[in-house]
Amino acid sequence: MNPCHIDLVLYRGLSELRAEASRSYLGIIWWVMEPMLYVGVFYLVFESGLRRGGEGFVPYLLCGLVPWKWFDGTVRSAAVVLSTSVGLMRQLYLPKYLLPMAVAVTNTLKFGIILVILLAFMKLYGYPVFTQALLYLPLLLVVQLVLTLAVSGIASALVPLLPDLRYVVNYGMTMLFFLSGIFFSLEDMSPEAQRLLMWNPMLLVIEAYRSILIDAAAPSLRQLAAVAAGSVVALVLAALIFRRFDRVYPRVIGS
Amino acid sequence: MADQGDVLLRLNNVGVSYRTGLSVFGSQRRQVLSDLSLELYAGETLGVLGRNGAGKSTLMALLADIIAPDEGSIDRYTRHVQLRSLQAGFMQQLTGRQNAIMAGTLLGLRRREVIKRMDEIIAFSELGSKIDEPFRNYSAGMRARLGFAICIQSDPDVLLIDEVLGVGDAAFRPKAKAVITERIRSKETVVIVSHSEDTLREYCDRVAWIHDSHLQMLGNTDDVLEAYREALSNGQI
Repeated sequence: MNPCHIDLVLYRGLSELRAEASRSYLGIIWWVMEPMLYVGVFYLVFESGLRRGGEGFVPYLLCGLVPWKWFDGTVRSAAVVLSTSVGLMRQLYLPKYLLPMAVAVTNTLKFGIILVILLAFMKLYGYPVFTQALLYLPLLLVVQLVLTLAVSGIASALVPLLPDLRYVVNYGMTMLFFLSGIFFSLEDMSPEAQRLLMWNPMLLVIEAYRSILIDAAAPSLRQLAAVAAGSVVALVLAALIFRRFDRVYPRVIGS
Repeated sequence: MADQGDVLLRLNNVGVSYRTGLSVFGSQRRQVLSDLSLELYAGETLGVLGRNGAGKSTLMALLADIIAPDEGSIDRYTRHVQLRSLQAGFMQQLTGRQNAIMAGTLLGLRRREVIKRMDEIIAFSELGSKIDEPFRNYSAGMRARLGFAICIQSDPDVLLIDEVLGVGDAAFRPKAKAVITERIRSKETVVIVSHSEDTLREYCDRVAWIHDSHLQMLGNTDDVLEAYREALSNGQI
């Protein structure tokens, strides 16, 4: 990768975040406020008795929702990023895979902030959090990043070629949301359902967050390795599509 | 850097066609360029002439390596070919300074290189302290000036210029034109698309006349312009 491309991806990722901030009066305060409100809403709804969730339901829910938001936000933006950047790609050549990578940078920065707030919330709620199991967190973050890049890469590479896929991505992500074990635990499912649901990599990732943050136990490394391996294969596939169609995208989009 | 007269780009029987629609119920293809062969030599200034829709912009996109031809091939002896794009990827919500950094990295500069040259960019664009205001507040002239100031920071082997040489208001235009003129007069390789015969005659060594997606004529500037004018007055094009 060309060094100025690394600068481009990082700076573009950061700029998108800055641009979002500048669209409101409070600006960068929202970077912290938004995730706090996000956590706060679930706390209010479930702990004040508006809705019954049971003991420890809010931390359980947030351990699923926060990583999901990172994944979901990146994939949905990446799916349309080539279309929104068509003006740019018609003015100069740039490797198109840089665009979804910049999207991933933006969403990863956002996630970084919300993750810190989640950890603080878990600590305040009474979980130990800072245990030996937390040492697995960086590994888990890397695995989820690779998975996110892989799915975003494939979505951003294919949607411009087959615009109809945009609908598939939207509904696919909504469906995946309900299948990722955010509201339920895998253990409560029948063995057949478990076997099927285990094919969903985000479910495995979310289970790993819960074992680290709630149970203070090591996540299943076998499952994480499977997620990582599958993601690398998908990443290679995305790279091949991008290479094949790098100079086709400026022509097929919006014409 | 190639020596004077070396071939930098060679187009071999290149053709480009576009789909006219997107549907499972069938679509047709429209030929935008066909059977075009052309060599671009180091140090020369090549003009491109033709009516609207003749395929000039598609030719520029091919030269800049933005699109690939459907037929034929292109031999490249340089990678650094750049369209002089004035506002590539500017974001409305960012300041001029932030946009300058982003556009600079798009043009192949490192972030810290752009920062190092920021004083030069601010001075040339005459933006002064407005460089830290949001880009969306800029007037059209300010935008063009900033784009131009960033653009001249990079030094491609082949510079592609679409239509206008000077940008900005009456005061800025001569300054912009002087910079471009200096580049054309130096050993830089330049391709200019223009409708202006004066521009082509002033700068170009050779002119390619594109008509109806074909290369109608390629030769000395004066010869091509004469043939073009004759065809125009005869109503042949």
